[in-house]
Amino acid sequence: MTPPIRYLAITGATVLALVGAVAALNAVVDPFEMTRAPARPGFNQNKPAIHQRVRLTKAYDVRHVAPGAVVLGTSRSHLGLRTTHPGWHGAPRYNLAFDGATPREMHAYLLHAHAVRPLQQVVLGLDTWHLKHLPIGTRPGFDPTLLLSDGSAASWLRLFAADARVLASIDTLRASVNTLRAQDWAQPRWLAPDGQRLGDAFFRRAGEMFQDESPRAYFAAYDRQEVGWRRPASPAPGAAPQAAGAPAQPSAMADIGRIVEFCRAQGIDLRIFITPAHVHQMEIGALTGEWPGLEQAKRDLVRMLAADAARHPGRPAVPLWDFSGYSSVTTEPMPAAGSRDEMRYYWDASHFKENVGDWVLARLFGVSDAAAGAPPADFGVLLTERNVETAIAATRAAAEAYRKTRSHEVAQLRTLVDEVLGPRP
Amino acid sequence: MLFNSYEYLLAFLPLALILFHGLRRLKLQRLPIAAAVLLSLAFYAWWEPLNLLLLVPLIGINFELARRIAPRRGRPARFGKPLLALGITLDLATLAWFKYANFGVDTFNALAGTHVELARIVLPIGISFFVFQMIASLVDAWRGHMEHFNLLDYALFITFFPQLVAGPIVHHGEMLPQFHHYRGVTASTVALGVTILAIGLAKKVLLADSVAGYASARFDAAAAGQPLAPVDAWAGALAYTAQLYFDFSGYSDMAIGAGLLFGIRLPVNFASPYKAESIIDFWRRWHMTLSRFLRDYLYVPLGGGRRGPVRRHVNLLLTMLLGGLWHGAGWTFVAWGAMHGLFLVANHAWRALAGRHGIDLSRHAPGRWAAWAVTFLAVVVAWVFFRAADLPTAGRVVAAMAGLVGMAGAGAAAHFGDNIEALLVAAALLALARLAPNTQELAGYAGPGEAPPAADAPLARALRWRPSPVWAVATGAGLAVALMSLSRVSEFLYFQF
Repeated sequence: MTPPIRYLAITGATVLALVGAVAALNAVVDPFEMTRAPARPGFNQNKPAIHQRVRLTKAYDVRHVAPGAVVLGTSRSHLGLRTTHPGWHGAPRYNLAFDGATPREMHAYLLHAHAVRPLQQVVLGLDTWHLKHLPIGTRPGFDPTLLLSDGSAASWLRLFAADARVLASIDTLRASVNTLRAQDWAQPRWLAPDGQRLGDAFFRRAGEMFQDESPRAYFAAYDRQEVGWRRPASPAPGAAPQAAGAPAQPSAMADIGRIVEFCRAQGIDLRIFITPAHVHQMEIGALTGEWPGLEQAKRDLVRMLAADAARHPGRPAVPLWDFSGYSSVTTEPMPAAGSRDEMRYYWDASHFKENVGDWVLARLFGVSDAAAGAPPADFGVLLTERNVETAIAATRAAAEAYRKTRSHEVAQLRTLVDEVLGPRP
Repeated sequence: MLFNSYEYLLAFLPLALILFHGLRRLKLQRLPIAAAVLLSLAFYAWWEPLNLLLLVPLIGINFELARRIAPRRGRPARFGKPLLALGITLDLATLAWFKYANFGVDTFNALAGTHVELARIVLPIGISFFVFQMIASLVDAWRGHMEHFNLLDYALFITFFPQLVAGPIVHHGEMLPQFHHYRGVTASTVALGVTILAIGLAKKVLLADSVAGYASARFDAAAAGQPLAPVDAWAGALAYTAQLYFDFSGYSDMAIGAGLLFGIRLPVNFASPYKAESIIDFWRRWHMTLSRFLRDYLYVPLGGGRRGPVRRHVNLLLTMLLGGLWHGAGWTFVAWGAMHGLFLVANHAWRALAGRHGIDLSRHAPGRWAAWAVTFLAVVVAWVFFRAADLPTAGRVVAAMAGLVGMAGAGAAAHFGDNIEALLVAAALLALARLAPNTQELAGYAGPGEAPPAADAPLARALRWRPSPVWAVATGAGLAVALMSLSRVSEFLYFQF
């Protein structure tokens, strides 16, 4: 063997040995529960990485669980919706919602789950910020290569290539090392095997403001954060500007339309709801001028679903429940300042508790959970072409009433918005 | 297809090599070259197949024009000059349309207060690079400096995929003979190619990308109007200075490495620019193939330094202004080019003055360090304009660097700890760029027609590449770590130009 040939052989062997060693370690430690390697106490049982990389973990979870029914949505649905509700059909069930999920991401995860195993039922939770005729795109943690687009061999091949990439990556190695070092400070696992984030475990962790300060302080801090997110966006670090002349991205509403079309084409029972955030969210939206766009988007969504129903006579229409209005649930008063009392329905202004989630599912499925009981009469409205205008008018009237009875709370929100966003027209 | 992607490194490049060398071993004379052209076109089409509708006709037209305008038996070609003008006009018009039309219309609207509408034009990737190569070959064909006229060789000279989209900007004189008299490749060349490719990949993935976030966070904050404290601004500027060098020189190394795997030598594009002790020296070390093009096809035809110092300064300014504009259709690039033009003028003026008074800073270490510091500072400040989203952003960053924004008034974009981390990482990378041997010194690589780099420094001599087991393990380890760090693919910065 000549020196250059020997050189190339050693170089190649070094690459293979290192890549192989890293992949083997990652497979055994399995920080993202990708390989489902045995979890051994004191070695790899506590896996902090699955909490930080929920999009990645859920992509693999879907392959292992192979659900027949899923929840799609953001952290609100991730936290609030149980898969044990008696109204579900299709099994097993999996909560496929995750933080900040955009309609485009939800569509991609829907296709992925359906390619793994044909779905029977999908519950889609939309937040008011999804209801836009603008593109929302995807988040930095979203990796389409980890998702099946269909059940074709090509799609599976792409997926296996992505598996190899994740397995033999320095990122995963870092997560493995962190996993090995994290065994002594294990915290309660808040990501349940069915994909739900367990609020009772999550918010009560040491270091969480909800736990360390008070639910009231956390609620107020979250309001501030919500207003901050409405600052005009600056480009993401390192993000390349969209190429001039590049084709326009589909809007969030168009992505929702693709979800509806896909479910219809595949015979999946789809049920949509607008999430029951606390009305502070609606009030912040009103103060920042979001209401006209939101109301129009609701009308358009109703119209889209009516058109879909008209195209499929004899089949059930896709229901759209709106829980974002001013109800006895969403107007729950904040705990008194300085108290450590918890709210009955909310962790913060965005995230509702499971008891509210149970009522949401009761409305969607028409079946109440025995423990949760029937939802309050003023909670949720099934939007149709016939009642959408009435519902919008009712929400406006309820908002006016709320502003009168809770004028102090609304004034505080106005001050907060002025403080965070500065003077606005 | 990015060089730092699995598609390229684990699929396209190996398959291209197997096909190319397979055909070569079958002793099929021109077929490997034809295959290389097709592979290069496929590589280009990966981004946008429609771009082939621009690239392929341009190759055909430029080749035909070059063939027609070349003197025959020492006599100028009939209609040589008008055809040359036609070719250059066509090339420049193509570049102007795709790269500058929107910029021109936007500028006109801003100045005239009008609302002239022009559809947003997509910039075909690499157009600035291959159009320059076409212009150079037209000019040289007309001058009688182009010897080989073979369409296949010419097509590969323009499209050879390791250099197609971001250089080095190759010259027909150094490429066509290599294709025309292709000599094959030895195991030693392949070993060197793998090494240089690994160095380039490591520079990009492990060094440039590791510092990119520090720069982006601060420049984005400035673009969003957030005030920067001086330490923020310096951290951002130095991080970008490090990022750009390791990104672009890493890309160039990968191009050279890939070229060697085919048995083709590409010109060196970087020679430790941050070691430069004057701006003149900097431009002999930074993006050397662009400097060569600007010198030979712009500065010298404008008259160079032949018509007195004033004209030389005007020519320098004009060359650098256009060089700046070549990098991008924006006023920040014009400002960057203008700054470098002024730096060069000042450098030439200083040289003349120092020469008259017998001052030679290079004779003493403190003088050399002072010259280096001034040069480096000028380069860093100019990079702020190069990186910033617009002139006001650049102004804010430079003002903060100059301390014109007080710490108290600044809502620092980053926490203090993060700034310290950014400064430390940037400083470590810049120290590497300043003190360590560069790729060609390490590898002993010389481009076509270039003299082998001297390894005078003891460090360079000690580290000089040889096909030894130690180097093989180091190369393999670097390659493995870089490959396993590709999970977050980021684009090379010079692709946008």
